[in-house]
Amino acid sequence: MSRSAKYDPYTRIVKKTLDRLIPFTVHWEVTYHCNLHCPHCYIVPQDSREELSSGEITAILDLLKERGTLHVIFSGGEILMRKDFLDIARYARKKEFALRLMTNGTLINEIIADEIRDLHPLTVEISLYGSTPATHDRITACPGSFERSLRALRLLNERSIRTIVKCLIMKGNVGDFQRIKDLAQEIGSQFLYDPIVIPRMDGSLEPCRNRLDRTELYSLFYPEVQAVERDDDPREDDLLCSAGLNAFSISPYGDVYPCAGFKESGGNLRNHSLSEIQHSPIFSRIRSITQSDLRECNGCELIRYCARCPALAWMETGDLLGPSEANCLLAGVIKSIIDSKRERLVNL
Amino acid sequence: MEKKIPIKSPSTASQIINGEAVVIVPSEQMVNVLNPVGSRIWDLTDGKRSVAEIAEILTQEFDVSYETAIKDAIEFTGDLAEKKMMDFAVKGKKKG
Repeated sequence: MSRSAKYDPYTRIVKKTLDRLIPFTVHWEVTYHCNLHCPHCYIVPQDSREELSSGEITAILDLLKERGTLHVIFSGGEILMRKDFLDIARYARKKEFALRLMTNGTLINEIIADEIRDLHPLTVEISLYGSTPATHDRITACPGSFERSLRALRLLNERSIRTIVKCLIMKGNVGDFQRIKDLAQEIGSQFLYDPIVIPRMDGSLEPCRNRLDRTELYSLFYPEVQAVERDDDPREDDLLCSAGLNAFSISPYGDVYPCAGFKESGGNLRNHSLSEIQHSPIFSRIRSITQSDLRECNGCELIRYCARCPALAWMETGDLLGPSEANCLLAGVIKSIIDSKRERLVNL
Repeated sequence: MEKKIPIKSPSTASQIINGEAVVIVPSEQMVNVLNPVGSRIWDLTDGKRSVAEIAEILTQEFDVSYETAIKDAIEFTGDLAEKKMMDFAVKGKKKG
C-alpha cells in the first residue's frame, strides 16, 4: 500500500490508537515461574517480589477494558504454572478481550484443552525446539517435555483451536529446522521461527552464545528469502515501533514496560495510574524516537533489509539509538541472499 | 423478531474505540469494524435488551423514527447472526 493510500477500517482504528495512546495491545507476562529450564530464556525471576494476585489482575483487566485494550497476550514463564490462570483467562474473555496464549504446552491435558477451547483464543502458541525428544528435551533440560508439548498441540488442534509452533532457531537445533517445520505442518499447526536469541533481562549476554553465525543464517534463510527487492528505505519521521504508543507490557509484579523486551519500567500498577505510567520519562522517551535519531543506521546500505528492534539494540548495548548486532548480521545475510538470487536470475 | 434478544456470540472479542466497535471472530479469523449505528447496537447488546428496546434507544440518540430504527436494528442484528457474531433468544428461553 502506498503511504498516501486510504486506510482500511481496521488500519484506521489502529492508527487512532497510536495517535491517542490507547493501549490496544497488552503483552502480559503473568508469571516468571516455569517448569522448563531453557538456557536461552531471557527471563530472570525476582523471587523476593510478590506476583500480582488474581484480584489485582482482574482489576487491571477492568482498567484495560475501560482504556481501550482489545488484544491481550498472556505469556510467562509458563502461564499454567499459575493455578489461577484459567480463571484469569475466563475473566478476560468475559470482558471480551481477544486472547493469544503463549505456553510450552507441557501442562495441557484433555481437561485443560477443553477449557482453552471454551476461551476461544485467537491463537495458542507453543514453543518446539526440535522434531524429536533428543533435540527438544536437551534444550529444555526437561525429559518428556517434547512428548507433552506435542500432545498439547494435538489436543488443541483436535478442538479446532488455531495453534502456532514457535521455534527459536539456535546452534543446538538448526540442523533440525526442516523437520520441525514439517512436523508442524503434519499436525496442522502454523509454523513461525526466529533466529534471534535475546539477552537475559539482567543484562547477561550468555543466551546469545546460542545464536547462529553468518554461514548458518545464510543456509537457513536461503530457501526462505525471495529474490525480490525490498521496500523503500524508511522515512526520517517514521516511528520505530508501537511500544509505548498503543502497546505495552506488564510484568508478573505489575511493572509496566514499553514492550516485553525493553525492561525499563514506566511505573508499577500497584502504585501508579496507567496515565502516569504512559507519561513517564521512559515512555515519553521511547515514543519520541524516530528514524532520524538513528544516526549510525541512517545511511547504512542494509537499512531496507533490516528489521531493527530498538529493544534488542538496548539489550545488547544499552543504547536505544545504536545498531543491534543481531539485526545487522541478519540484514547482511538477507541482502546477500537477495543479491545472489537476483544475479542468478539475470544470468539465466 | 422485535421481541428477540440479541446475544453476542461467546467466541467474539470486541472493543469500542471512540464510538467504533472492532469485533473479532476467532474461528473465522475475521475482524469487523462496525459503522456508528452498528457500533451502538453492538454496545447495547447485553443479553437482556430486546431488538425493540435497542431500537427505542436508537430513536433517542440518532434522531430517527422508531420505524427506521427497528428496521435498521433487525437488519443489522440479522447480518451479524449470519456472520456468527450474534445469536438470538426470546424472553425466557435461548434459541438453540
